Amino acid sequence: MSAVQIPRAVRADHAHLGRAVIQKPSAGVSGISKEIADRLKRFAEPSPTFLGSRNVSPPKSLEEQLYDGLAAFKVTTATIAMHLEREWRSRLFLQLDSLLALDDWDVEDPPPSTGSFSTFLRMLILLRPARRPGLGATNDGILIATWTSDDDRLTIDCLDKDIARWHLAVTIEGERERAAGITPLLRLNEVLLPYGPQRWFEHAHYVSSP
Amino acid sequence: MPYKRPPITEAIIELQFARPSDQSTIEKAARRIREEYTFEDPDSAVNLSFDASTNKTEVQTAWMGTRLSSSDRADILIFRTTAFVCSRLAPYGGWEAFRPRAAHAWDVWKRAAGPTPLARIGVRYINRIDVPLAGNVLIDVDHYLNLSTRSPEALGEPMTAYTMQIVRPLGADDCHLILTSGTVASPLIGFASFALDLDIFRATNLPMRDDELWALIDRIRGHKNRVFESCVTDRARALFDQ
Repeated sequence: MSAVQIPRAVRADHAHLGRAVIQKPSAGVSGISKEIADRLKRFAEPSPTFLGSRNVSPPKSLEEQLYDGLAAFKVTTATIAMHLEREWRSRLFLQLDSLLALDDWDVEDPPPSTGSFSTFLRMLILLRPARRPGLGATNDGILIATWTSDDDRLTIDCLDKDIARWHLAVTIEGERERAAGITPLLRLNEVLLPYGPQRWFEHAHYVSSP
Repeated sequence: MPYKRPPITEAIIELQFARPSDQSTIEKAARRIREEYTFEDPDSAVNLSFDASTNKTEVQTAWMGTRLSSSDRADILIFRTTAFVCSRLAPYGGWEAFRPRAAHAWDVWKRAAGPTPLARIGVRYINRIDVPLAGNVLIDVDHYLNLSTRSPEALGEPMTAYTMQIVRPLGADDCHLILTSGTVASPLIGFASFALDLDIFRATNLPMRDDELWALIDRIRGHKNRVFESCVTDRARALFDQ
């Protein structure tokens, strides 16, 4: 039997995405158990490109945090880059370069976390918006994606582990409506559907359909 | 066959040195090619050690080399004391872009370091096959890969993950193949992902002349393509062309 059962409900820890799913067996003391443990360890090792790291000891300066954060965001983007149109990716990188520019950053705010950025990326592939969102960040390291169409606004705070904290304001049949919620990414399309999200995401041909 | 969306997450040419190189040579080579890359970072090994008697954690770093990266961090070049590593992350732009960049960087290295005997030549392509679940959480690996591990039917329940490695001679150019495959945590929501990691290397009778070296690397790339195509099914190919 070569079928694999894929668990769907587990929310992703960004540190594990794209990495081999390897379970360590119970500890053993024999030579063969050590050999197997060593082999499994080698399976989990990064490629030669990622064996080393930058030699920076904490605490890091803000400049170093922004530099490392931006590098991590771009390398994370590379894990799904085959599903993004090249121009879309290039423009996203320009937005990130601008967002994490040292001169514009409040010295007291931490850069957005890699976990928040991972949620943002996964959300992009899931929603497949043609229009890139505006990007921002909260003062506690959460990446914010915003779409505006006339007076209709959608803001999504990308929390760690595939959670979206969203709020929106739309006019439907002449009535102003506001809504907000905290939703796992997997259900985000569903909860936004009553508000006609195409008003923000229209022309969805720029992000490839995986 | 070039695909619309190649599943390559990383392409690597690694040339391991027969003797370690020194820091000044590495820095000299990096200076000569620095302006072709946006970023330069030290490449260090970080070791954390915990002393139970003092409850203190110590961070030790050892300089291994210099890493150069393009502005999008997808083109990477590492001059390491033990190896030359040229890497391209996704999106992969093809051998026609990757190979000349690696050959040029090697040329820069040779001008700075002089003749560099090699211990191993490796060309590695790490692929990830992203399969949409579409409501189905049971994926048959055989539908996408012509290799798989099998869980005994008698156990009933399907497996939830697998990892396998095949090491074998390639039967050409004194090369060997390390083929590693397994489930990976998919970076896409609603997908299952399988890694297909192909590392073709030669560790004996290594060429000394650069023209022979790059002719060998070109042939290894051809072998890699052959191995890749023999490992994937038409259903997988359809995913790369969507």
